[in-house]
Amino acid sequence: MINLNHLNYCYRSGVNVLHDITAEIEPGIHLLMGENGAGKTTLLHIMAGLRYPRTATECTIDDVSTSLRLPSVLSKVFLLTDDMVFPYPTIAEMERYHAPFYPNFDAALLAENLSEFGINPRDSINNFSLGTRKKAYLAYALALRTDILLLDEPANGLDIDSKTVLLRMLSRNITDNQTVIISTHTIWDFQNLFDGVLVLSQGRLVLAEKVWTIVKSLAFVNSLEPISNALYLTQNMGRFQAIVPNDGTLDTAIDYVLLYTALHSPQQSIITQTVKNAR
Amino acid sequence: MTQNISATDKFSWNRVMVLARYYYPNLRTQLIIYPLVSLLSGIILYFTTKSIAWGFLSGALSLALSIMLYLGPIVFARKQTRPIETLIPARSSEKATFILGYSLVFIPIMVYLPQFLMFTLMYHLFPISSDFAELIKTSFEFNKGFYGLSYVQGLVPTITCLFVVYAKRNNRLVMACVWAMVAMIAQTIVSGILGAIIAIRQFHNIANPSESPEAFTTDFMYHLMPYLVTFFIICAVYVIIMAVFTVRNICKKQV
Repeated sequence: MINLNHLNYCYRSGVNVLHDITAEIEPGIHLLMGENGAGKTTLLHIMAGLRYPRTATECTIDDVSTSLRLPSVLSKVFLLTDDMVFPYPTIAEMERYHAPFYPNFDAALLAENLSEFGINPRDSINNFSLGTRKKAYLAYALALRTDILLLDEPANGLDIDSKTVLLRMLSRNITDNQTVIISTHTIWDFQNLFDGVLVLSQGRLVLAEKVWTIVKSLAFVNSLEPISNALYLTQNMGRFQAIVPNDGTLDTAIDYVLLYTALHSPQQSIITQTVKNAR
Repeated sequence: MTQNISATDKFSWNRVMVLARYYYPNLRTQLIIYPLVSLLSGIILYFTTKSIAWGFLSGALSLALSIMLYLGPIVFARKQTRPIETLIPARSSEKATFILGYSLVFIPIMVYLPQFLMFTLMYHLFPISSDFAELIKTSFEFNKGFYGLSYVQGLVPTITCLFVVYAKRNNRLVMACVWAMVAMIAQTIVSGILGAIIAIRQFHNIANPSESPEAFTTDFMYHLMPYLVTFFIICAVYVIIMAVFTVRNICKKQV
């Protein structure tokens, strides 16, 4: 489990990126949302131990600080960011020289993932298109089978078919004791995948909840008529979209875009309070 | 077949070996070229004993070997692979052990040992004139006391290069080369100042060259030693300080 305990992070330039973030992130697939510059990538870096806060207790994995960069913690985490570059020209070499550090690495799963994407592990990554390179990296990251997998914009640059394959891979291969945090702006790529939602706004964590708690407390309504008792209401292309309190009678799917917009509006505190009350 | 290693938090030499394997593909070219150039320079060094015409080439190769030593650590300046390197489940001390061990011990061995072995082999296989043999013997005798100093002196630009590789975020390759050269120039200036002091203060104390070579060497060493020890200490302290900073960067640097 990832524990964030009053996490603050400030760049050397003095810019305060993350403010007082507290959350317990349990196994499952979590969506991390936030505007540009909200601190999503910095938060993922801290969880992976690439950056560290002022005190060691502010970010821990299974009660061990990530800032210590101990092998027992690092072997549980893998971070794949948009600009990451693998040190070898082929995935086969990654498997040979890098994978031995990861005790749960699954060579069969890597072969399966690569074949699903139609990638030969011996082909040079340098000759791949951006999308194919991304697919190769994702296939490898999933095969490491780390307890915690942090993915920063994993669907960026993927074509529609590849996104479908990735979605299938994620839902099939992620086990119950794995924690996956996906930071993305293209939420609809992974619409029905998430167990939890983390929303950052200007460096503050405004929501960290399980999806079922959200749908238990809130309903996402879409109508041609204005909606009464809405906690948040917006109009888009002639239709009214609203978040209304759920008394347990409404069974609606979570609308992440609407939730995100609501959490970045003045109604933020009402929405979060309603969700908290439903815990 | 991939054999995975355990994720114990204790320092593990086994993991240092796996780290060596991890870095191996990036070091492969250096592992081939450095000993080859060194072997070649050993052969050319032998031929300088046959004809003075080879002397120029020998000097150029000696400079090339020094540059190879100074800039050896740039193999760790791979572009944009720092995050994945930091994420490797190994203790930072294990990473630092491998990186420092490779740069400060293994590279000097690769640069100078093949040259020495090749020269010795050629020397024994194809004997040279007795005058040259005597000269080489005297030269070896004279240099015997300086091997430690030469080694530490050679590490000054090397550790500077390595430090910059792990301290800088951008332009690591260029900056590491530039700072290694700056360190080399600074070192030359310091040794020049020491040389000038020796020339001014000790020249008249050094024995008469008309004495026997052994007596001259002993007397020369006796008067020179305090200055050489001072220079050795300056270099050693610098190397240690820079090594500590480099380890700190490897262990603590935020990516």
